[in-house]
Amino acid sequence: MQSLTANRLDDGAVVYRTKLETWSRNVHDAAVFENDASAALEEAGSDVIRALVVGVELIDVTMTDTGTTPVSLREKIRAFGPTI
Amino acid sequence: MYQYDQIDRNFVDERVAQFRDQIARRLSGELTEEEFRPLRLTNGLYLQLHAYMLRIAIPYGTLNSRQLETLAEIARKYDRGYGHFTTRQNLQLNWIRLDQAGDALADLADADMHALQTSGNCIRNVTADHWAGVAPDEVADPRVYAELIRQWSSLHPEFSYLPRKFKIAVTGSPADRAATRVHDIGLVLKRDDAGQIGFEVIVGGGLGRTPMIGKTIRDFLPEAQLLPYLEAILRVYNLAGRRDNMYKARIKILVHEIGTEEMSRRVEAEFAKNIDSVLANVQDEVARIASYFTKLPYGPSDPNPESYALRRKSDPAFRRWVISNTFPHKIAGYCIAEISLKPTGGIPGDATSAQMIAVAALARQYSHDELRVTHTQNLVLPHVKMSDLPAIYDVLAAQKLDAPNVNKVGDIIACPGLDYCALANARSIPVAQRISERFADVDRAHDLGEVKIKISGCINACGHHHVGHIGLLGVDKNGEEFYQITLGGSEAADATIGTLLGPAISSDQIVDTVEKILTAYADLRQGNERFLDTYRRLGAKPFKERAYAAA
Amino acid sequence: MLQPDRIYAAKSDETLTNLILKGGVEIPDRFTRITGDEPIMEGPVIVDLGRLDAAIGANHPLGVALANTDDVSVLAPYLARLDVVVLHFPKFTDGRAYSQARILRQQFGYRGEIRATGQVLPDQLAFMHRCGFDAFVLAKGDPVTAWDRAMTTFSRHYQPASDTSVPAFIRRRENAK
Ligand code: SF4
Repeated sequence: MQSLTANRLDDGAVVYRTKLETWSRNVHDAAVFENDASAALEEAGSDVIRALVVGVELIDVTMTDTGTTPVSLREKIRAFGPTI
Repeated sequence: MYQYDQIDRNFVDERVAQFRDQIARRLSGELTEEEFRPLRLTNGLYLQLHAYMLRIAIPYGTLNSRQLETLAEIARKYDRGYGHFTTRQNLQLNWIRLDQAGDALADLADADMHALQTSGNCIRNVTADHWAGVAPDEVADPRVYAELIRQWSSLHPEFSYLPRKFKIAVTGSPADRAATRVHDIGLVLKRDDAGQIGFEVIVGGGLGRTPMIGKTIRDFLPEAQLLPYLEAILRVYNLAGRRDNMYKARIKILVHEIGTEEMSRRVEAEFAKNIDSVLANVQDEVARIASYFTKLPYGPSDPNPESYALRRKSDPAFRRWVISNTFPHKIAGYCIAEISLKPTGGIPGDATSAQMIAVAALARQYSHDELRVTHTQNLVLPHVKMSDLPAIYDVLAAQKLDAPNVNKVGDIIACPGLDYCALANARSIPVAQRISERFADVDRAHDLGEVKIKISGCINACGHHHVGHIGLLGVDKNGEEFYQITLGGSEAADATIGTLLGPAISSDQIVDTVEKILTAYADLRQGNERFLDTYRRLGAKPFKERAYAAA
Repeated sequence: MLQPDRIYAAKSDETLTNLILKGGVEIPDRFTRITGDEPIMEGPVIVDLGRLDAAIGANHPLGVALANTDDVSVLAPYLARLDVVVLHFPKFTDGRAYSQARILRQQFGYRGEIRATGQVLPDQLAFMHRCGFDAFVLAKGDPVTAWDRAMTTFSRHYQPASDTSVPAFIRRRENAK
């Protein structure tokens, strides 16, 4: 399972691609791609060209009770903030 | 300290205006991220994990009270009320918005500061001995030359797109508190037999993936030839430095590949063509800058005033703080007081806006309005009368800035690591916090004496782990945080790259392992040996055995 | 790599002519760039370094194009005869051509045109100009706007370079007199 993440251009905030093809600050809103996410990745690229976000990338996620949750420590820290 | 004149002020103002325009063009989409990135980096603006990060230069680590107050205000207004002092005499703010970065830089310019060239493949902000001008062992004040270099390198048209970043450090003391041997260029001030000032020029040191100790290519470069000579080095590097592989692009790799002799030959050849440059004619400018760094009006001061002596006798906490955090000043009756930004369990190098404002007030009242930032992520009040120490200590204690641990096990250097940094493999800060908690006992820490622990979250080595007595490097092993240990590093005049002890240790085990190493030292030391001395005498073996022994 | 996007049909004989930015205005390029084994025609031409000897005898304006890995000192015997030296930025982040230009101006006293090609972007124009470039094939943006911005952003520079600006330390010395 994968989701799409990026940083918002104007404030750098971590955002996730939603089902509605908008960007949300909340990882639990992230759309989940079970299979091939390349079409969504390309689609999201138009927001790079429109200078809305930068650094769009796919991340591995799992489903938990609270919603979509990243797998790697790096992405957990991006999603939930510094651990300190 | 140096004061901006109208030329300097116009320059930073124009720079802010330029960057505002560039930001506007980026936000409008006229500039792509690829085009914009180097422009924002030369203005100190990174995109990190959570937000933009602004890295502000504190040139050669010197600032006045108003400047520190400005930093505190900027941290409040544009960030979350705190900042992180780094190993390169910078302050980093972690939560900056791109659309406010211009305003933050404008506020900074109003206090005669900037974030210029704190990142990017250019000549980075110059660092110097944090005891410049006050150290008893000083040959000459390195800040005069650091300021000269700061100006010369600011938006240098030829050297703004180098193969890789380029760091210059200057020290005025043989003790080398500026780590000159692990910089791209290290300059060590000295005098020749005739008493003339010049520099030993060291090239090609650095940490990162391939740590190297710099090589001396000139034993004595006369003062007036400094800038033409630097220009010759930079030109050789700009043309011949590798651009095919970013891990091989630093000047240390060039020096390593062609050899010190060939490097020296090329630089001297280039320098010979450059020697008539107007840059060799900066004596008036050196004198002008030096006039700002003249001796301060130190009044007479009693080396052992009664108030101080009594407090020392009656208050063990104060005594311990004085022993570990104050150092001799060149003027009798004065001392250098270091403020540790490493409280037990705290984030190394972090200070809140309130703390910065309190420290600024101390500097104004007790230290000729002057402060220093160390590459060990601490602050310094450089001109303190012995009689003022009790009052200073009380303010620091109220601000939780009284950790009596300078150069002790708790005085840990740590980079931001995976909690903030986009390049990190593992976290640094939580490891530093756990180690400092483990050694929270002040008596035990003072008994262990000088121990320099340095932690980096990736091979870029911002935490200078290679030159830590104990260095920890975060690595990612199948998604788990592990730490490689190096022992025996030093950044001082006896600069040494630490040696890898053995397999990386898991995050769970790392604090225990550090403790085992230090317990081994406590068992094995002779006389007054520091950890580093014992390690050098015995080598890695006994430490390795203890570190990897089953619990 | 970005390509120049400002190619116009400008001449009456209907050959394509590049515009170059020179002296703050766009002018048609009178030189023809000869690449590879193309025959060296009559009229102003710019040739690769390897064909400089073949082109040097002809009696018309001549330029040479270098790679940013070429040692510019090989041009020393030719410089008096050369009207243009073209220096290249394969990427705008590759700054070798800045040093090449400075060596030509500072060490060899070359007075002819130094032209920047490749990924020449508005935000680096000022650096190029200060290093001795005086003609630009801009890869993006409006050249005249870019030029105006490059020339007016800073009122003074700290270091001497290959332009005519008076560096800060010399201005201060004069002010002190
Ligand atoms: S050492 Fe690595 S993780 Fe630490 S701040 Fe530097 S780049 Fe980031």
